[in-house]
Amino acid sequence: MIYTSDHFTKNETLKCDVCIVGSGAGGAYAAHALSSRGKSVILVESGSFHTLRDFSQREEAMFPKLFYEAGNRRTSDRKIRVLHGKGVGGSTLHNVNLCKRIPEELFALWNLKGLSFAQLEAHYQEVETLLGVKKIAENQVNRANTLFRAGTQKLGYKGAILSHNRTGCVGSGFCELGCSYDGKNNALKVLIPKIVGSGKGRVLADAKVTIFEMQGRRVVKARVSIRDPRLPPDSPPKCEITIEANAFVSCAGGIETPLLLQRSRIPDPFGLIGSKLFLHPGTAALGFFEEKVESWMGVPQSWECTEFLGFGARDANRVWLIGGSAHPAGAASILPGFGSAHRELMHQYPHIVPISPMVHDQSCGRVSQDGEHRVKIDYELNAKDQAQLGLGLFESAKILFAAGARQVLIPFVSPILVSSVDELMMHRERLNHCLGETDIVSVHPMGSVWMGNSPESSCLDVTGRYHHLDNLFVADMSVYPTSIGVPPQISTYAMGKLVGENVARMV
Amino acid sequence: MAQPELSFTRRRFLKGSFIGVGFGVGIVASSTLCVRHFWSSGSKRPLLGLERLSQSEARTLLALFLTILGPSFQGDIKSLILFVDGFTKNLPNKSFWELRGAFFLMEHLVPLLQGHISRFSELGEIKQIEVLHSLENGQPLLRPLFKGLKELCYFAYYVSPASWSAIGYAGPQVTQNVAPVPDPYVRLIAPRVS
Ligand SMILES: Cc1cc2nc3c(=O)[nH]c(=O)nc-3n(C[C@H](O)[C@H](O)[C@H](O)COP(=O)(O)OP(=O)(O)OC[C@H]3O[C@@H](n4cnc5c(N)ncnc54)[C@H](O)[C@@H]3O)c2cc1C
Ligand code: SF4
Repeated sequence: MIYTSDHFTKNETLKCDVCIVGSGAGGAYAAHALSSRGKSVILVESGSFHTLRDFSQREEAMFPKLFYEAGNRRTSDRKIRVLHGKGVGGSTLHNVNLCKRIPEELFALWNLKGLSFAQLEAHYQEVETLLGVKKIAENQVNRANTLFRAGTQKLGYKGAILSHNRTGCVGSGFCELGCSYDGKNNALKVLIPKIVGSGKGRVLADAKVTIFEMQGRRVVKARVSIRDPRLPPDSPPKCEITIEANAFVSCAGGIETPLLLQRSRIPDPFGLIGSKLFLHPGTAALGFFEEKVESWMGVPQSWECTEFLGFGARDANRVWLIGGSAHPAGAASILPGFGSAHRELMHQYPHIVPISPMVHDQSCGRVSQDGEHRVKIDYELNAKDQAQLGLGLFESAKILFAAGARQVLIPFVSPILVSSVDELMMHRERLNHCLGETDIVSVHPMGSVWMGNSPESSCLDVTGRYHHLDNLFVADMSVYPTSIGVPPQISTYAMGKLVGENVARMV
Repeated sequence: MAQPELSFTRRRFLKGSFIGVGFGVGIVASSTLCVRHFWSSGSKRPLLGLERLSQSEARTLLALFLTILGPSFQGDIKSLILFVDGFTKNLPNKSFWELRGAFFLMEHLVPLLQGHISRFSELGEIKQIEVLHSLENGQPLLRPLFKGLKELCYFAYYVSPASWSAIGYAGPQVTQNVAPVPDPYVRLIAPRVS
């Protein structure tokens, strides 16, 4: 069953075979893999449990419920916003459902001994079947993505319709605020009921694992503080639960997992935990069309352009182009200026089509704790990655013009508003210096506690086990040795499965 | 002597800009009450019903709303200020103090740096616009402060249904607190034992 803060009134100790921290893609799949194999599991989630009526489609209500720091977490220099989800289901509650595997080319570069691409593919296949991943139907491609596709094809660029995990989606377009229609085949819909239904899984919501406690080479306890979500964030915890288990799996995400391991002072002789963070950052070019496109309506992100996305050592470019959309407050924050100029742009809101370039980043940051409620993310987007985003902005603008945009806006502090590609050429060099000039957002922070072959240069072995402890595992988007250059949910579900099955063999 | 002061200020600047897309408590938006005339930007009139922000902070916020939303804004500023006041209840203390720091800098320091002796809320409309423009385009260190305050104002404004018809947005498609399809999740919650 699912237990919320209302169920806990006093400190107590719970026991199980495996304690899993975080109920997103990795955690929920690991919990399913374990509970379906007869292992007793406690899945601990610091966010709340939401039912369909909670997804109100209102930005001011949903951001605080679904995102850490209400969606306002940023890098230390405040130049990049880093979005990370919470709630039972984790970031799969608010994500856009598109599913894209790690390319074999990239996987090969990792050179992981003991994990082959064929093995990973087998996990992908099972996960995709369970989550009902399929290509978006032609009649579900919304107007914004139709225009994006038209522009891509007109220029002869590589592109494709994407596969998503949705069933019963009515195309409301509110994906990033959670789905009221139960149309997402996400961790909440597909996995949580299975975990609970197995009779082996308990889910604790409003429950934050504060630290792991160790004895020798083993984690023996997780300390969990229960908070009432209706009270202000600084209110003292309602009570503390101690979980004793044979194995512990951290699936708290690319930011929270390294923090939890750092707080717990687990042995880290080479200082690796959190020392390598990729953000897969993105920004946006905005096309203005004569017609009303209403890009916030319908299924978002059904088309991609991969013309400039390479993974091999010899590939010159590493930028992926994907459609964007935003509800009013989100859109207002991207648009430049203020006063009448901003108001005029907002009046064009239904006519705007955003395309977002995201860079398969080589820049690499560090994550550490900053006080009880905040996190410190040091990350400097290097010149090469900025140039890739510059290329992405330029090519996005070209696609928008090819699709019929009358103007394209690059929302820099000093905005670039142009009516043709030739005009944009005059600003081409400026596009390569976007950091601090425009909104840059990371929705895929990853790689902070990564797999590898040796304890000197990586944190985990290929089973997901932490090198320096016998029963601590990680199964979330921290595990990738580099940026994966594509959205990570389906790979992270697959990692949850892989690690969950490994743990099941051990306990 | 000056160095510690400077580093303190820089840190507060960067951290103080942590605002923006913020927390919501319910906003009851009414487009009928226009308080623009009731509270002119220089007014010292007390603001009623504030729980967290001081009156001086509310005056800064009022001035920011009027400048950022622009001269044609005709809505209910009082409810926007109350919205911001309300959402600060959901901020951790540290973030709330950073927000207060941002208001303080905006009200006192930023105008001074630009050669104005008056507080931001007491500058005339044209000077307020100039101050914001140079904050937006000037010193990269100060830009996040502008960006944060701008996002805060637009967040408060554009989550309000009163702003939607002008931008062609129809709003949510569901009735609040009603699931549009049968909800399979409620039954997963463990029964509570008293
Ligand atoms: C706006 C947005 C859109 C996205 N769209 C897509 C998309 O279309 N396709 C795609 O592939 N990916 C997408 N992603 C990314 C995708 O959702 C994530 O890659 C995926 O969910 C990662 O899974 P995870 O298990 O690592 O972490 P998460 O799903 O984030 O789950 C981690 C969970 O751990 C919990 N937690 C953290 N710390 C603790 C603690 N100490 N104690 C207890 N619980 C804790 C968190 O609250 C959270 O619920 C999107 C992300 C965002 C932000
Ligand atoms: S578009 Fe589909 S999946 Fe997204 S919120 Fe609407 S119904 Fe749900």
